[in-house]
Amino acid sequence: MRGPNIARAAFSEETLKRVEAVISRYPTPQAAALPVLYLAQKEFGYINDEALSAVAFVLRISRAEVYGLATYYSMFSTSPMGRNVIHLCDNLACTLLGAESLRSCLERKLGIRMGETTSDGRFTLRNAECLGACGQAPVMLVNDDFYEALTESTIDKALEKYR
Amino acid sequence: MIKIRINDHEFEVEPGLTVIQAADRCGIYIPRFCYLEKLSPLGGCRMCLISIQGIPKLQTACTTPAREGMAIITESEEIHKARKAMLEFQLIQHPLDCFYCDKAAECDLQDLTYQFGEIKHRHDFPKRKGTIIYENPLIQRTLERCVHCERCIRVCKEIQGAHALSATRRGRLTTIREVPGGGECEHCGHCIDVCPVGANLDRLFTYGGRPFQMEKGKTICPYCGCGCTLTMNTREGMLMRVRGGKEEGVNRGSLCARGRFGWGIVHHPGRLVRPLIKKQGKLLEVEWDEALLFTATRLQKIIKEKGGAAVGGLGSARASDEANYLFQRFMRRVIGSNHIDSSARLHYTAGLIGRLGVKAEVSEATLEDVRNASRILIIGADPVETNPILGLAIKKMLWKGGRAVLADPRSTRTGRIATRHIRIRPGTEVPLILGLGLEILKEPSLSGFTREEVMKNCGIFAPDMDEILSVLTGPAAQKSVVLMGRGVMQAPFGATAVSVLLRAAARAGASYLFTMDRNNERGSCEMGVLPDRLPGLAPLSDRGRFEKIWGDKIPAAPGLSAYDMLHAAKEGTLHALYIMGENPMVDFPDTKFVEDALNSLEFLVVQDLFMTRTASMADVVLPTASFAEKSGGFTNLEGRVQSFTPLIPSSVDVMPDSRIIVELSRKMGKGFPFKSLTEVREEIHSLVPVQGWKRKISGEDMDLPCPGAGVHWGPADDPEFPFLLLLTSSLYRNGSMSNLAPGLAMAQDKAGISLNPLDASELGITQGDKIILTSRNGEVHDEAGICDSVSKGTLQMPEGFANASPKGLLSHDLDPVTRAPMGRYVQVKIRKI
Repeated sequence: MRGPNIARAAFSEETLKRVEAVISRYPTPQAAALPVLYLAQKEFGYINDEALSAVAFVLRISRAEVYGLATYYSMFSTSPMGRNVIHLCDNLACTLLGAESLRSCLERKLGIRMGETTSDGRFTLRNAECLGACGQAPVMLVNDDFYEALTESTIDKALEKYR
Repeated sequence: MIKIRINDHEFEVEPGLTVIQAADRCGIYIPRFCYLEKLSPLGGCRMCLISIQGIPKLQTACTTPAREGMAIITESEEIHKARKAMLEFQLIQHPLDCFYCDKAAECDLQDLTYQFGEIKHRHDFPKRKGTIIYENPLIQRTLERCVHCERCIRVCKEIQGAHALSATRRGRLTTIREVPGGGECEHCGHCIDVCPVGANLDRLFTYGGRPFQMEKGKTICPYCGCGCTLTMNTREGMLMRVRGGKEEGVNRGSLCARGRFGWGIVHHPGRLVRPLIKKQGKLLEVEWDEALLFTATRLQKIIKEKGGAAVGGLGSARASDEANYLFQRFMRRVIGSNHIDSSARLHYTAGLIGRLGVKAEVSEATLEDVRNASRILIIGADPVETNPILGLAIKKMLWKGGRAVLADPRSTRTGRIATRHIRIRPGTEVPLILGLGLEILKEPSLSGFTREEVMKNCGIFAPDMDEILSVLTGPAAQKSVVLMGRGVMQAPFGATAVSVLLRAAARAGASYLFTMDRNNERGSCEMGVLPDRLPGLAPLSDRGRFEKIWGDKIPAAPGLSAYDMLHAAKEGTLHALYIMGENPMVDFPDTKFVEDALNSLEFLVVQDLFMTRTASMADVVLPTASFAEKSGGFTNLEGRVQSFTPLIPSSVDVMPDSRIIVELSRKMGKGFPFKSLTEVREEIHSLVPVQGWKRKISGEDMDLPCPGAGVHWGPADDPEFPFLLLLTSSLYRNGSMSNLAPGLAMAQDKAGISLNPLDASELGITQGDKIILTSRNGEVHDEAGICDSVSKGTLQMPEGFANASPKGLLSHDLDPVTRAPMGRYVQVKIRKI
């Protein structure tokens, strides 16, 4: 028989527990789609085929619906990512305060272009829509950490602690 | 009815419609991309903007409900401007590649833009480029042409239930994609039909021509028993493409992969074009006259020497009603033999016998009844693969909130969509049904099949049993449907089980339906292609009526069924076999036995489209016309009699089945009195009237044996062959003929053997390894596929693939009543190559 093999969720036991806890907070499993996708991205590194099936299985929705969500939001990736992900905001406030030059600075330092991953797999550089910290623009997000009021000289230091 | 005003005209429409639906019913056209009657409204394209009195802003007609007293304006300067602005947006992205786009001249965007006149661009974005996606072997997706109406996504989800497509990314970058790594797509091609632009296109049709170069015609699909209406486009005598048409036929505009992409057999280069006669072990081309004369002489010699009963005939579950009628009349009258059968013996005859054994009135469901049913009980069937349009009816029912309970040992596509899939032990469909019979009918003859006994036999639990019973109990049972398939038909005591379940359904007020593998199984049986039944399923004792019209004696003794004929051939009592459009070497279980039997024949005639394995063994091969080149009628699984006419002229030297039979009869000195096919049809109507749209089957008193309680169900333990191979069906194959359709081979070209991951790791088998399965009867090798949902200790393999067929593994123990080869499973051992 052909077709998607979605008879089980390929989550680790620990993640599965967290997934179940998240789902229990919502009226329907489908409503937990975004938090479950975050957990899946953490577990699998990015939203690959296996993650798609696992999420679809626990949420009892189709893989197509999960795929639509995962590609809609820029915080999810459907291609492999580096160990650390840099999200650089390019919205109005950040751009006015020099995000464009920060972008070329980052690209130069890492030797990659926006959207790419360094060859050693250390960093992935991605565009972000407004990160909600316009008062401290320009900002970037590395994994879960915020860096505000960035300049070319503070970027270097910020990146050092990520291996 | 409610009153509305559209453009200052009063109209009355039924309540519960949206404005666009109301306008459509009043004959007022509102432009649209995303709205389609059969889909849920989206309100995405904004082309259907209208103004409603009392509401300041323009509204979308597709999402606004029509209310009493509503005054609607569909055309005004403001509306025109708004719609034109929407088109302007679409054209920012849409490439102007109409010159080589297959959709041109039937494209909604092209037509609407033409209607709105020149559109001046106020935006200057670079157009998207290079997003033609060829991931799907049959459907080309050109995403820069997409207008994001999401019709394809909705049709895939709501009608096809495949959930293969999704809208990815967002804003102007939104792209419709298939889910990666899935295999969700069922290749129904519905997304091609509904696409308002050239974003989803039929790859088999690429550059096939403009719509005005096409001739359009309708025919009935030659694959499964659903009997779908195909809207064919032909150009200069060639089939070009198949479309679903607008809500037409029993399929309501939906098609499956076979219907849409399986037409390639008609123009296959391997088609036989001239009759062949075997001379010194070689089949050589001859003229029709010589072939027919040779056949007539040989048959007459055998009849003269050994009697008519030395000749047998296989009619065809694929050929038309008329051809089958003529065939059985030829066998009975010209040859003088009742040895007549077809491959319907494998799939349907048990159901027919079971149905005839029920005297009470049982209502037969139609596909429409299934769509409207509240609950359906499916036993031993996989309608989503065998009869995809019936599968769609079930999906529709589920979409409306119905429940589908499936009792089947295999992991199947139907199992995936069913509300509840109860995995009974292989081979226990019959005790399950008899147990249901006992609970509902309380007949003493079924007393051995108590609840406990049945649960033990089938390996199921009390809630499962309750779930199954719930379909047939309670007041809602009148809207229930019972569906049975080959799991029941090919089981020991299959006919008994069918009759018990039909009686139980009758008691509950439910209706029934059988799945049917071939397009005309039902028609061939009703035309009398059965050893013991005349047209209209009349018993042989009623033959006086037919003798009067046919003007000849009909043998009184019942003839042999398909496998009995093969046995007789092997034993030397049957000397000749006339096969009209069947391929037992591939489609019948126990290939080795079939081969020996056919080899023992003195004379074998095969009528076919192709040089099949059976045809290559014949003494005479007569080429026939395909479904697109002839007229006739097919009877679908509901019993609906549907006729069709030729779409294209046939190649010079082939003849329709019916004409071959008529010509041969003339050569044998007993010509038919018919001048045309219409006269044949008239005679059929006079003997077997069509009432309304179907021929009625009425039950009779029949004693079907009931098994005792001590019978062992399912396979016995065999340490030498520890695995159980369960036969499944494939959406992409339907008999040996479907292997020659290029479109279907593109969708799936390998059968594949599925096994459980635990078994696989024990045996050291990984995905894609070549494995050999050996049974007591034969062996087959194919690629292994690991599948979680296949039960441990079992394997699954689809039949119908010519390059790896599990048919050779099977034995052919016959059920004493139905004479059908029993068992949809076989014990095997596995070896890795």
